[in-house]
Order: sequence, then C-alpha cells, then structure tokens
Amino acid sequence: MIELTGVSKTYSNGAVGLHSTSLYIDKGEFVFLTGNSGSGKSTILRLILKEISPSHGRINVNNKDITKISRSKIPYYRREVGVVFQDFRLLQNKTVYDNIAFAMQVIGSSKKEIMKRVPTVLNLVGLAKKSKCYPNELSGGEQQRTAIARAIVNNSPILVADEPTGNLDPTTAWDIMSLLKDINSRGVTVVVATHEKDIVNEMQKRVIEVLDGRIVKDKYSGGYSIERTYN
Amino acid sequence: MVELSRTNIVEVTALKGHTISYLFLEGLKSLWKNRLMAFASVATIVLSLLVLGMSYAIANNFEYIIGQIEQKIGISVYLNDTLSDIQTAELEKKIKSIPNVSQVSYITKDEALQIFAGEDIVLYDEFKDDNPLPASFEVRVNQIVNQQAVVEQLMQLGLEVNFFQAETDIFISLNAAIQFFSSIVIIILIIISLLLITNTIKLTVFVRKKEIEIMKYIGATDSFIRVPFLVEGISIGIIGVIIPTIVIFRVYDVVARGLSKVLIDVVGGIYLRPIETIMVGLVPIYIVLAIGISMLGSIIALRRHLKV
Repeated sequence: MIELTGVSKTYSNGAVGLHSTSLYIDKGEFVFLTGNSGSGKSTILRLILKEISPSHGRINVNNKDITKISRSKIPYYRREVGVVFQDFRLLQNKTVYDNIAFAMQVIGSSKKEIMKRVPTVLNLVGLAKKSKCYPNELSGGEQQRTAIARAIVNNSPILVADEPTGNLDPTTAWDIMSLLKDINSRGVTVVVATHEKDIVNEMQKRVIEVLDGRIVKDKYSGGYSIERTYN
Repeated sequence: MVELSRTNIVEVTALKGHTISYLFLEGLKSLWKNRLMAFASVATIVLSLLVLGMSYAIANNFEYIIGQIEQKIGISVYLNDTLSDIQTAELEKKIKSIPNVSQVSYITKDEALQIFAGEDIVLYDEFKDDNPLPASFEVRVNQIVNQQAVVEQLMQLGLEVNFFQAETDIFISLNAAIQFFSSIVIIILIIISLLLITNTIKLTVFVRKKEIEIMKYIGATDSFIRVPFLVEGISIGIIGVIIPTIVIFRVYDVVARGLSKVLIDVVGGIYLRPIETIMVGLVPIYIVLAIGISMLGSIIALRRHLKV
C-alpha cells in the first residue's frame, strides 16, 4: 500500500530530512511513526502526502509511483489519503456538518450524495448531535473527531494523522485513538505520527521509530521503549 | 455501518455543474463575509474610476470644443474693390486649391456692412451707399495647427489677410497641454487602481491562506480553489464599474446642462459632447480596467499561495 524505496530528502537549505530509507506498510495496517521533532517523521509524512518530493528514491502508494505524478494530478492523489493534524485545521466559519460536506464538495459530490454520506460519518465519529455547531463551540476532542470525519468521508483507503492527540488531554487522546483503531478495523490503512509513549506502548501496534533521518526501529506489536536497531 | 472502500474516488477532470454553482455561491458568500474588505476594494476602484471618468470627460470635451473652435476661427481675406467678378472667381479657385483649406465663403461688401452694423439700422442706412468695408473671403482651415501655413500661402498671393494669430496659438498650446496632462493623470490612475486591486485581493487571499491550505490537503483542484476567488474578485470589479458609471452619468448630465447654457451665452454655438458619446467611450474602459484587473489580480495573488 505504501512503499518507500531508497528514499532520501535533502532540503534546499542543505538540511537532510531523510537519509536513504526503505519502508513498506501493507494494506489495512495500523502504524505508529515515532521520533522526536526533527527526527524525520514529518518528512516521511510530507513525502506520503506529496507535499514535498524526495531527492532520491521511489514512493509507491496504492500501486502508483507518486514521485512521477504531475502537479495537476496531485489533488486527485490527495483524495486517496485522508489527513488529520494536531491543530485540527477546521474551517472556523463552517459548521461541523459543512466542514465534512466541504471535503465532498471539493471532489464534486452531488448534494444528494453529501446529504446521505455526512450523517453516516457523523454517527461513526459520534458527533451526530453536534452537526450544527461551529468549531469554536466544540471541545478539542470533538474538533479532532470532526477532522477525522472529514478525512474519511471520501472513503480514502489511507488515513495519515500527524500528532492527532498532541493538543488533547489523556482521556480524550484515548478516545481519538480508539476511533482511529475503529476506522482501521474497517480496512483503512492508518499511519499515526506521535511521540506519546503511553499510547504507543498500550496500543501494541507496529512502531517505526525515526532518529536523525533514519529508521532506527521497526517492530510489530511493539512499544516505544523496546530497544532494537533497525538495519 | 459505514463502508470505507475506494469506490467513491472518482477522478473528476472537469468541474461539474453543481460544483460550479456551489463555487459561485461560495464566492458570493465570501464576498459578503469579507464585506468590509470588499467595501474597501470597491471604494478604491470606484474612486479611481471616478477620477478617471472625470479626466476622460474633461479631456474628451476639450478636444471636442477645440474642434468646434477650429471650425469657427476663420481667416478673412479682404478684396480690393477694383476686382472684377471673373477675377474674384479665379481667386476663389486659387484659395480653394491651397492644402488644408476646408471651406471658402464669399462675403459681399453689403453683407460685410450688415454684419458690422448688426441691428443698428441707422448705421447701415448711413453707409449703405458709400460702403467703406471691402468684400472678403472667409477661409476655414481643417485643423487649427495648419492655419499658419494657409496664411503664408494666402500672403504669397499678395492678399490682405486678417486672422487671430494670438488666439490660434493659445488654442494650439492649450490643446496640446490638456492632452498631455490628462494622459499622464489617466496613466497614473490606471497604475494606482491596478496596484490597489491586486493588493486587496492578495490581502483577501492571505486572510484565507489557511482555508486554501485545507482545501489542498482535501484534494481540491487549482480551479476549484480559484473559482470562488475569481467570483469574489470579479464581483468587486462589477460593483466597481456600476457605481462610477451611474455617478458619471448623473453628474455629467447635470454639469453638461448647466455648462451648455453658459457656453451658449458666452461663445455662441459651442456644444458639449452628448452623454451617450462619453459613456460609450468610458464604459468599455471601465469594464476592461476593473474586471480585467480584478481577475488578473486574483490569479496573480492566488498563484503564490496555491503551493501547499
């Protein structure tokens, strides 16, 4: 599903974001990407989101070499990868419903499709009663649920979350994690970048640890603290 | 249960009808939401176009009036009383063949006296039989700048010529000065409005940078992102055209009516351009400037922020 082959990234200012790295994430996997800020995990996410292009190497997502897709095709590629951020990034002037509907309008869905699909997704993330609220009327957890709903409303096969619980208290963080787990159980490949050790340890999912632009650990059903060198 | 499959991902290469109407509505909604900024943009456009319109109307009318004056200012060629009818006719032919002479009319001794005496019948009667005034040709020149050359040609024929040298010179230099000055003012105003509109849209785009970023992450195409801004920009342009058009139309009508009365009293037979002529010339300039620039401004402003 997601495959990095010999991928490296050197930024224009000379900083190395990622040394030659290979990585394979299978369809339906739940993967934690861990490491301190500046370790290179953001670089990996940005490469998968096609926000930046690698200096070397090939990135295959959904059987497509995304390093070769043209600029005009990027929007269509992004529809296959739902994304959630630490700061939610909701449109403040739109209600919960409209924020989610917006993602469907962007890809050209009809009003009918939107009216059918949005309530279903709202139910899934547990926000059916908050559909008419604006983001500033919601708690952090509810805002993140809205963002997750927006990320999955178009049935993207991949969901990428960048520090999704970074702004949330521990209890809410757990709720969000179990929601992501739930989404994963429905067949969506989920990649979560985080540095919250407790969550990583507890979830017992695959953990890929990045340090200084290199993958230093890759362990299935692992925890944050297990020491093992990645080759 | 929600089925999270890929079946819904359809590659939409062109914007669908319902998407376009959605984007159009989004543009208008955002225009209303950003109405303070939109108002500022409209106000600057309106102001620029109003000044442009006034300069245009003034310059255009000066040109028109000078054209009329050119027609009116003539050269008088006085004729010797001893000339026979045949000689007079020959002379008329010669004058008509001078380049840039548009019209030659013959004024008899009697007509000259009538013009001189005006309504003073006593004066006319007194000199009727012993008329001291000579017969003359009134020579009209096509353009005021050519008057000097025509006068020289007439003098070469050995004729006594009377013309308004000083007045002619004033009109020539006035015409040139007005055209030069108004061109500069208009060019400066065009540049100012261009900068203002581009800047305002850049500001709108900047305010909504976050929104654009989100749209890009969701997978919005460039055209999907551009359309609402274009609608917003062009709407500002359209409002910016309508207001000064109405204002110029109304104000010109009132001012022209007032001025025409004065002009008729002071210099008989000078007219201002009809409002229709002004509008026909001005409105296309307005449309090209306001809508074209606001559209261009939106595109330029957006291009920088589209790279997420």
